[in-house]
Amino acid sequence: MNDAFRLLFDQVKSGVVWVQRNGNVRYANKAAVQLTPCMLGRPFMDPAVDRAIRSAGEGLLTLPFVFETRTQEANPDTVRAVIIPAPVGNDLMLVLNNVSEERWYTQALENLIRYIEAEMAQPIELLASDLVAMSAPGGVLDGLPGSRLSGNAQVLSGKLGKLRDLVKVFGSGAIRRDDRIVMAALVRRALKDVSPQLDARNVTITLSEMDEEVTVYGSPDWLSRAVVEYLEHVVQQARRGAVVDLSLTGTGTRVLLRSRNRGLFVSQHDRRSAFVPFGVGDHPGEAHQRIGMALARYVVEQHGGSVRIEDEFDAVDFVIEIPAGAPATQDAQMSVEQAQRYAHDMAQLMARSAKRRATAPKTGTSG
Amino acid sequence: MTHRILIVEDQADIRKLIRMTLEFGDFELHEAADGESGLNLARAVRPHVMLLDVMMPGLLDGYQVCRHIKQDPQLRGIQVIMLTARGQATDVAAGEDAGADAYLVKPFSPLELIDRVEAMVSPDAAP
Repeated sequence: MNDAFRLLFDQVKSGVVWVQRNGNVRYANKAAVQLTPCMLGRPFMDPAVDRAIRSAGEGLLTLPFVFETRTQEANPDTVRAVIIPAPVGNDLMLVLNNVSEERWYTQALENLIRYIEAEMAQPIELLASDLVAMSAPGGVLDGLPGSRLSGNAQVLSGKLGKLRDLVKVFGSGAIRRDDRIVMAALVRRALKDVSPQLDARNVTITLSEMDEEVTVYGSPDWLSRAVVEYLEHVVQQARRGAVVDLSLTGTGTRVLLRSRNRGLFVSQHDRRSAFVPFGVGDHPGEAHQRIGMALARYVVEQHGGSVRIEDEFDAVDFVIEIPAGAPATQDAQMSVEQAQRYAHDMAQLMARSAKRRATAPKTGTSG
Repeated sequence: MTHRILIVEDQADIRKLIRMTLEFGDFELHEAADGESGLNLARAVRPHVMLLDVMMPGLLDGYQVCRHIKQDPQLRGIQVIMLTARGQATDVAAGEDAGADAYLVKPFSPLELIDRVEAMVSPDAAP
C-alpha cells in the first residue's frame, strides 16, 4: 500500500483495514485496532470477522458486504463492518464504525435515568422518611439523629449540585475567562478537596513535577471544579491502594496536568463512556459518578483545552491540556477604544512635537 | 541620547498605536508579541523602559516577565510600565508584587503614556 493511502487512512475516524484475500491483514489504522484486534501479516483474531473476510476473498459474498460485530471487551460495543474491494489491486478493505458511540445521546438519557436511580433514590427516600417523621403529630427532631438528617441532605445536595452545574455549564455560552489562575495553587486546592475520596480508596497521589509558574487565564471557579472532577475520576479509576503520579508542566504554549497510573488498564468501553454525562456503573451498587468527567471536559474545552486518556507502555495517563497564558484572541473592542483615545490626543501630540522641533537646537544644515 | 523602549504586546493593533504614540518622541523602539520573546529581546536590547502587556498567550504573561526582569541583576534597571485592560486593586497589587514601576489601564491616554515614558528616562528621574 502506498504512503498516500496510509496517510489518508491514518486521518479518518472510521477503522480501516487493508486485507489480502487469504485473510491476512496488510494495514490497519489506529481506529481499527481499537475496534477489532488484529496484527499485520496475520488473519483477524475475531473469528466472525475472519470468516466474513475469507468468504469475501473466495467470492462467496457480494460486495459491499455489511455485517455487525462486537468489540472484544467485557462491555462490548456494537461495530458496523463493511467489506469493499480495495481501491487498487485485488485486495479487500474492511471499514469499521462504532455504532454504540453513535447512540451517544440515547445513552446519555438512559444514563441520566440510571444516575437518578442509582445515586439519588436512596438519599431522597431517607430524607423523605425523616421529614415525614418530623411532620407527624408530635413529631420532632428528637429521637432522630440530627447527623443522619443533615448527612442525607448533604448527599442529595451534592448529587443535585452536580446536575445543576452540568446544566449551568452546558446551558451557558462561553465561560468568561479573563482571571489569572496560577495552576499549581489551583491543583493543590483541588487535591485537598478530593482528600476524602483518596482516603476512602487508600489512593496516594505523588507530585512528581509541579511547575509553580504556569498560569492560565479563565474562570477560577469553573476550572477548579473541572480539576476536582478530573481528580475524582482519576481516584475512582485507580485500584485501591494505588499510587498515582501527578505532574503539572508547561510546554511550549500549553499547560499539561497529567496523572499517571502505572499498571492500570482502561478498556475502550470505559474510555468512551468516561465522557458520557451521567454514566454509571453496570450495577447500581457500583455506580460511578461519571457526570464529573463530562463536566470537566466541557469546562476545559471552554478554556480552549482538552481532556483525554492516553496509553503509555505500562501506564494510563489522564491528561488535561490548557493553553498557557491568556487566550490568543484579538480584542477588537479594545483596539477601537484605544484608537479613539489616540485620535483624541493626536492634535496635542502633534502640537507638542512641532513645538519641540522648533525649540530644538539646530545641529546641522539642511538642503 | 536616544532611549530604547521595548513594547511587549500581543495585540498587533494596540502595539501599532503605542508605536505611533512614541514616534512623537525621540525613542528607539523595539517590539515583541509575547512574553518569552519580550524577555529575550530585553536581554538583547537592554531597553531603558519596557511597556508590558499583562495578559498574553504563552508560558510567560506580563507579571512573570516583569518578575524575571526585576530578579535579574543585569536587567533590573529596566523601568517597567504594565499595560492592562483591568485596573482593579488586586491587579495593581499583582503588578506591584511583580516589581512593576508603573501601571496604565487600557484604553490609556497616549499623552499620559508618552509623559510617563519621558519622565522615566529624564535625567531627573530617580534611579
